[in-house]
Amino acid sequence: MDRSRTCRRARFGLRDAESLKEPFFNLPRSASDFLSLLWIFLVTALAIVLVHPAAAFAAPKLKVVTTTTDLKSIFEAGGGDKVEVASLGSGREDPHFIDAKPSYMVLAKDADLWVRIGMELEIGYEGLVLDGARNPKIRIGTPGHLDASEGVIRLEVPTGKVDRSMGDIHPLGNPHYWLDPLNVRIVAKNVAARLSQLDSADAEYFKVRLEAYQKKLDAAMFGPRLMSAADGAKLWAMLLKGQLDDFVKQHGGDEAAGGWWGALRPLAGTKIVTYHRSWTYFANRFNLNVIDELEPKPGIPPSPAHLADVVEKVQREGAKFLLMEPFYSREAPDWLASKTGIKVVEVANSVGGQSGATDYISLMDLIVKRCVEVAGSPTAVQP
Amino acid sequence: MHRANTMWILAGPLLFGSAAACAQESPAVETQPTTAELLAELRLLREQMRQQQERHDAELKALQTQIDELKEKTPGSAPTTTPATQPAVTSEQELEGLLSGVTTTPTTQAAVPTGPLFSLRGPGQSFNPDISLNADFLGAFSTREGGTLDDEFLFRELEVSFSGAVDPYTRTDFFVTIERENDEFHVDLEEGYLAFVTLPYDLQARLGKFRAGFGRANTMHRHALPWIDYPLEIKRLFGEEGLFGTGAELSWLVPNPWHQYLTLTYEVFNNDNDALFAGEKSDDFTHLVHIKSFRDLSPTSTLELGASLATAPNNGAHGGRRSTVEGVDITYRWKPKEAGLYRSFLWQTEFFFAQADRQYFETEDSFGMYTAGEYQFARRWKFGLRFDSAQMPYEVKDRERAYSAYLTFLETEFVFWRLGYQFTDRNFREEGNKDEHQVFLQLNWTLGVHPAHKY
Repeated sequence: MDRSRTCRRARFGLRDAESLKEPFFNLPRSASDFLSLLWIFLVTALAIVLVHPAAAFAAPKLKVVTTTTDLKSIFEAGGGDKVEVASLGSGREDPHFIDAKPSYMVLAKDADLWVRIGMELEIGYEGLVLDGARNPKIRIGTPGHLDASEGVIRLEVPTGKVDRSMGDIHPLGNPHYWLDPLNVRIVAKNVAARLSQLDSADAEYFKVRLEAYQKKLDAAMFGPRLMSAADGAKLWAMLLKGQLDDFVKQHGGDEAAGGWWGALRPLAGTKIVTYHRSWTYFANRFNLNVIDELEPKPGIPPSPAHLADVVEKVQREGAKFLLMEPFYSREAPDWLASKTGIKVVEVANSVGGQSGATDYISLMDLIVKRCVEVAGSPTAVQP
Repeated sequence: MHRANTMWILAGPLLFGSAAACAQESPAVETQPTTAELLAELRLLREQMRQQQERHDAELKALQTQIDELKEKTPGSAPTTTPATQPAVTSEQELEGLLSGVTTTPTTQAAVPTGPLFSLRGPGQSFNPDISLNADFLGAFSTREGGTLDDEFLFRELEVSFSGAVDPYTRTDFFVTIERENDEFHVDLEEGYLAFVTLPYDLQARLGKFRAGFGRANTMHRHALPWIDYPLEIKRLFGEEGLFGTGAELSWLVPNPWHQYLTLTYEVFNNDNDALFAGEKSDDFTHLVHIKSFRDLSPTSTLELGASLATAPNNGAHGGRRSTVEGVDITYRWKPKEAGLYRSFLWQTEFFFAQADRQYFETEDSFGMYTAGEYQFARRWKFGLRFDSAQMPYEVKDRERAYSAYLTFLETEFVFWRLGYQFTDRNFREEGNKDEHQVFLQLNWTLGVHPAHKY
């Protein structure tokens, strides 16, 4: 250590022999001392720049702020290292009731792109955060504002007059659309299109990532054997046209059906109950039959009278299990379970909502796994 | 009208065409051609057509060669027919086609009323502002006779609000209130402003009438408070409904290296508050400065700190003397993630220091404060306590202390019930203006668009 110091000082030749005994980091006592420090600083800085040119001249990343963790997961998959994504929600709370915290405004102030689930899920806070952020780039209607629901499959879109007697209903349809992997496939495409618009130099990069992500989603949905028999889009098209079962028969039978679809295929038609109407898309995609919700109307807490109806319905129709998010109280579900023997599946429906759900694919893995586990176990409810 | 025009456009050429046809026909009637002549003409026409066809073919061929050459020259463009990429494109396109069709996705959910898969909002609807009505109904019971509230039911306020974007640069909010005063209802504009939301340098401006940005409780509408009424000190300093201003506001979201929320606001408005300031007698302005900082202490708790100052001439010396009021506000909030629907806590405290400079007296310094906590113990239930201390700004020897408790039942986001009790301890020298017990029952409901909740 001492030797290297001596060498360095000798090289600069700025001190006499006596001063070598003094500690090196004395405050500069003269202009020449100051100059030597300046040199050291400049040389070090130059070395850093030369060794890590990427660190010094890295292209600025697109700053994306999403309202939910599910959108964040899709952006991380589609944007790779060209984007920096932050989510307001953590996935652990009820996404309807995220607060318009001023700290979110600071986050949105520097954003290049604001992304919402849409369909009025964010109606309680989005306007306040966007106004408070003072960022003209991300206002509604600008390229910096993306409504991820553009072009997704929408369910429960009210047709007649809508009023609050129907509970907290959304005039544009049920906004919990991300639990249908086909909708996430569409959102991923919206994401790639918008990223390419904002950063056209990297359009090819986003296109490649989109294709890779869609492939990953398709493989997670249908499993490797079906993916080797046809490409993902073809499988989706067959599923929509009701031809996938025939295709499976031609390509190795039931064992060929893999992924989430294959795992839940034996459960098709299973009757279930949900806490809130947040599982509609999931149930629709995987042919589960939601016979009732614990909430009498969306957003209205379970009432004794309604629960009594649910007990009767569960007993009459023989529902297998109940799906609920961890942010709801266990009180009503446990009461229903004690009356009817229905199994309660407490599982997150957003990324980050439970340990293990670190991205969209692992979230779906978790939900599917829990459904399969519980459906396989014996239940007290018999039709 | 539109359809009639279209018909004329269609009919015009038809009439003209038939007239032209008639003109051509007429000479043919006069000179009857022989069969040989007709055949010769036919042959001529055939020959002409053949030549034309050949010319067209040659031109098309030349154009195709040019296109191919250009394509080869353009980098990255693939030849038109590459069998390898075609199947992927078609299945993706097929899927897209299926998705854009309305009826293709099977709706297997029998239990849920499923509407059409794709729907668009009706046009025209989108240009309407967001409209909502808030009604506030109160039952009040007091031990003090002749106070501001007797034992009575009271339709306290109906607030009609309109808001929306005016153009790409501005938005507007209007709050029109119908209030009961002296047994009569009268219409007032509580707030009505144009907000400039796309200003550069993180600035934002409002022009019009607005609730003054003094502290925290004063900026809130009465029905948004966690209590039945404004804290005593706000009522003593600024009047029953707090401080309003007709004027302008400029606020700046101050950039800082810590990425913390920090705003600096300046307001200038008419000096028409008749409690602490001059009322309508002065033609001077009220100036107000507010600084607000906010930080997340943890993912579940936040702290907001604010400081405010407002100054304006008072009635002393014909507007030659001033009143000044300073405030400090502290707000702590806690809301857990998973249990956030069922548990939360709010603690809010404000201090007020007022100096009223009067003509023949010394400056009268007064002090007031309130501190309040509210705990949510079930999905629909909250319980709160508040302590108030207030001095009359021009009679500082007169002070009031109030202890209040509130139980709130949130039926939904649109209706709440609140039971309140307040004991007010006064040391006023006048007779009949002493201690008071009050019980309130508040019912508040909102009709219309989903309200955005200010944090």
